[in-house]
Amino acid sequence: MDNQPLDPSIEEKARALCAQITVAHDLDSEIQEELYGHVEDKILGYLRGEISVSGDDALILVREHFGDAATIKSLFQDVHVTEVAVSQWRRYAAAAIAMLGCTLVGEVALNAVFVFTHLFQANLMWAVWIVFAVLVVATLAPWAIFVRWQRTLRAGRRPWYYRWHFTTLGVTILGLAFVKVLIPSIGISVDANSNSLPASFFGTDFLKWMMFSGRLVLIFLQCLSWLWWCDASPRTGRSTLNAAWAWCFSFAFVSTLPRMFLSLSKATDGSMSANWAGPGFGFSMPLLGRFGMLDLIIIAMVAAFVYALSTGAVKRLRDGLAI
Amino acid sequence: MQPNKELIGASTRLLILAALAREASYGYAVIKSINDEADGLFVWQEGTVYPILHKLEKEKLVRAQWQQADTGRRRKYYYITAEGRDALADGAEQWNGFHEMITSMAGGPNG
Repeated sequence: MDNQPLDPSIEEKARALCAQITVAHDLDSEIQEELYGHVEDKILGYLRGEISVSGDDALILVREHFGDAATIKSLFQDVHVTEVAVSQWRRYAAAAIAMLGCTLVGEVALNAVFVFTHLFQANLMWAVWIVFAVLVVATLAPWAIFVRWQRTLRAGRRPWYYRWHFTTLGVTILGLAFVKVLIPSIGISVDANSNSLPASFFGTDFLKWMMFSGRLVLIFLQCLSWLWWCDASPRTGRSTLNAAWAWCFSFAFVSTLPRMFLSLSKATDGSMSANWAGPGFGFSMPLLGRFGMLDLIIIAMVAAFVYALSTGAVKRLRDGLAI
Repeated sequence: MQPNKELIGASTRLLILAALAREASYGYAVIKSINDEADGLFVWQEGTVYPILHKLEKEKLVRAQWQQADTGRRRKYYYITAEGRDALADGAEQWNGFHEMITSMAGGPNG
């Protein structure tokens, strides 16, 4: 058989490929030498035409020559800036509608449970579990909705948020944000009857700690679901960061709008002025507590980092910048 | 038709032992001979075969030795041991047992 050595540059790359497989310090050189032997034989087999190229092999070669999909996506997005922005805004709007809708349904469900606590005087342990379940479902339900929409997209169908006019999307968001102002009976906030709930439900340090960490986890997961939804495949570091900002902004701004609206009052000169002295922009939900803009930014940035790491977007961003 | 991963995984050790029982060889040549025999029935992720060869070596079912291949290059040759031949015979018998049972049940009146 032909005993021609490999081209030095090919040999270097082949050795670099095998050098990625490190097992244990004492074994690495032998394992890598054995694997290099395999790679060398395979390359020579292809070069001599001893190995026929299958469809899968050809696809691998084409993919290698084609380039990284995320980088190509990024280059396309640089060309079609407006279309990309419109598409992303539609995704953000759809996500905001899903999240506001779920939050609203969750609030109504919580109020219903609290009304029950006033009707019964017993020690209602089941009510506590329902409250927790409602909080978890209302916070994480958007994720299930996003998965459904993603399936619609993959099936090649155009979801409703691509068909709706921007005005309709905007009005829907505002409608969900202001529904409690527009329909006061929905906006009524009922406090739980403390006599009918177990004493441990209120005030214990452990429960306070559980609520604090629980709400952080829930909001963090909600942010991750937003990132996943807004960041269409293939993932890039840039779109992850944009989605994180969009999540912060929509939650902080949209959920603050009704409070800002309600704080407007007529000044002595007859003009409308803001006398709102509230705690600032933020997202709030009964029992989940209130999250200010800074809290949301910190959560979003941590979530974006975790998300980007898990999807390889950080590496792609680094590789992309190196081009 | 591509067989499922579990089936490929379960048969890999025996296939390697069977190939080495025919003649001592090194990784690439073992994979090539099995691929030729499989004739498209399945495709291995070739790199994953080497850890299995090392496992067989640890279990003393094969022994390894660096030597010159026909090409003149140094390759790690694997030789099947007596224990390896026993394991191959046992494994082949079990596979045959399962094969006969499945064929018989699938080809039966309700199959």
